[in-house]
Amino acid sequence: MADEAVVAAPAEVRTMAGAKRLLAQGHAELTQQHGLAVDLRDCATIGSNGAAALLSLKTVAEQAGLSFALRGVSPAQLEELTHLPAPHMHGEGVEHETSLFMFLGSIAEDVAEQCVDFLALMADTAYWSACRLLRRGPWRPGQFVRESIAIGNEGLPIVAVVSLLVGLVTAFQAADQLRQFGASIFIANLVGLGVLREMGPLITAILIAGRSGSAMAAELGTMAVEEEIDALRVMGIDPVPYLVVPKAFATVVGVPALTMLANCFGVLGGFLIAVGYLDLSPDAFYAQLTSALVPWDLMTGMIKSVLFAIVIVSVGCHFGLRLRGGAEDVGRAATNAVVASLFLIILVDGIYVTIETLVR
Amino acid sequence: MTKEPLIEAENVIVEFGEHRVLNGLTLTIHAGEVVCLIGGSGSGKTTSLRAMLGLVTPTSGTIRVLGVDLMRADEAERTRVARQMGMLFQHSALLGGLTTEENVALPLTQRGDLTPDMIRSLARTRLAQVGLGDAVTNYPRELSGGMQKRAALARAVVHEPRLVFCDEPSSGLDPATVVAIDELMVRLRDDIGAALVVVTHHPASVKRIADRVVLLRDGTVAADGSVAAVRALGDPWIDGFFSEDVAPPSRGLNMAEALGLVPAGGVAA
Repeated sequence: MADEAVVAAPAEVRTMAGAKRLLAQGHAELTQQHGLAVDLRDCATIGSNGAAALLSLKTVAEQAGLSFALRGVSPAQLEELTHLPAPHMHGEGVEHETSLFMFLGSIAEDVAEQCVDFLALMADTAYWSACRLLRRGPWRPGQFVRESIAIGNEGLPIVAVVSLLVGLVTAFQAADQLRQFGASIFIANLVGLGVLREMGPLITAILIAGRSGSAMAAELGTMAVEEEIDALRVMGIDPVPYLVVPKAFATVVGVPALTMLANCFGVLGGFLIAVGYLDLSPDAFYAQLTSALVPWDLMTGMIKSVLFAIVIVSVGCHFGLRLRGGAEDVGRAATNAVVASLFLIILVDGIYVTIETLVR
Repeated sequence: MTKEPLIEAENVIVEFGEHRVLNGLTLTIHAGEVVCLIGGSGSGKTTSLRAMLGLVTPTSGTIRVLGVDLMRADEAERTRVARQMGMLFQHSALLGGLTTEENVALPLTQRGDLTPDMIRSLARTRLAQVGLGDAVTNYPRELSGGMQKRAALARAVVHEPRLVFCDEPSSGLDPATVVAIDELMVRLRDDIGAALVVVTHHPASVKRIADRVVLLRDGTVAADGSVAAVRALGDPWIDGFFSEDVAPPSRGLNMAEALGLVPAGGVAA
């Protein structure tokens, strides 16, 4: 064994500065492969800082295979150290080895679990919605109206403004192109079909996913964190009919209604460009619009908006109800709900349009 | 006092991932008794409450509550059992969107056999009993922590359950309110004749209210008996718990042992 260096612990080792000095001196000796002995004669007390420094030096010395000893320990110091709880220095269970495969596996497991949970929630919601229509199951009076106001009424201004702007911008972008070919009148076809079939339902769904989907995730997530969901279960109240079904009804009614509004404002945007910029007469625009559109154009947009509404409410409630943890997880649940809703809305839209095109 | 068993838990094991929280818990709770669950952090107190409430599904073992095996019961049976239980959550868990009265009325509205007038009168009576007669129209966020606890207690007992669980009813409250909550719990127990299972860290509360003390350690029952009987065991953790002014000794190494000055385990109390 190498020779042993004796380091006298500074008198003020119980302070942070003293402990730091002891650590520096001790490490200097240990890096030269000396064994280490710490002399505590000068210290009245050791304190948590001093004890932590000593324990750290002992751990380093042991790892390097060097000796470590304490000298001049007074009975008072021994008594003090006996009353200080020691931490685990060989972090058992702290470091997990993760290989790439384990990492990918855990992600796959999480995704699979989420999908199963999500489908189970959708099935539960469908079951309890049917029960509700038959007037069965727990119910909170007035909740449907409150949720409808939160989704429909309060979403009204933003949906109106954004769809008006989208109508304006779409028509504006196309106006010059159409005028070059003397086809200005077809602005009515473009705006009418584009808004009713695609833009109206999509813009509304995106706005409501951002506004109300995130709010549902945050609301239910907070309730889960605060044990309110557990409290309901303990009272024998299933949270799905009590909390989710009113939201589902309000969303499935509210989103198509807002889509109708978005359609009107989108077409109005196109109309303003046609009359104000392309100098078409209002009558000509109206005549062209009515000849270009068939009832199915409106219907297909409405069917899509119902599908989007189901996506928004299921995803929002899913991320809220499955939340475990604390306040910062609520924010994450809201963000995840929006991202997942937007992705699923676009996906559902793509699938729907593909099927519709193939069937026709 | 009747000796009818309300809860019979046998060899209950609960695991979260690889972490075993309950490790063969066996416990019987009889009608009308006040049982205090004590134990260090992570000893499985809250999890055992949640398992008895059916909020956590055990990996193995059986839990019979009011004669119903929770793991084999169907949804309707579980709901029937749930409606005979009340729970006071650690953070009250009042529903934020409902007023105090609506919160307390909630367990009653689900029964379906009471008129709205009757429900209101019952809820207000319980609220008056816990000293919140003037706060019926307030929302939970408008109440102090102690008032929320009392409202939650009213909600836990309003439907006259046969079993009431309390998860740290006195955490975060001042000593006077703790005494008030304790007295309320016992008074409501006497009033409705329910069994009370209380998880607590307050030795004074245990001495005041407990008919029986159950010490949990590492997810299993380490001691079970009256306050006097449990204290007579001479367990260092129990002695530390009841001595009130000293923190319960940690069961890891102390610094003198870690630094090699004395052999590990050489200074047992």
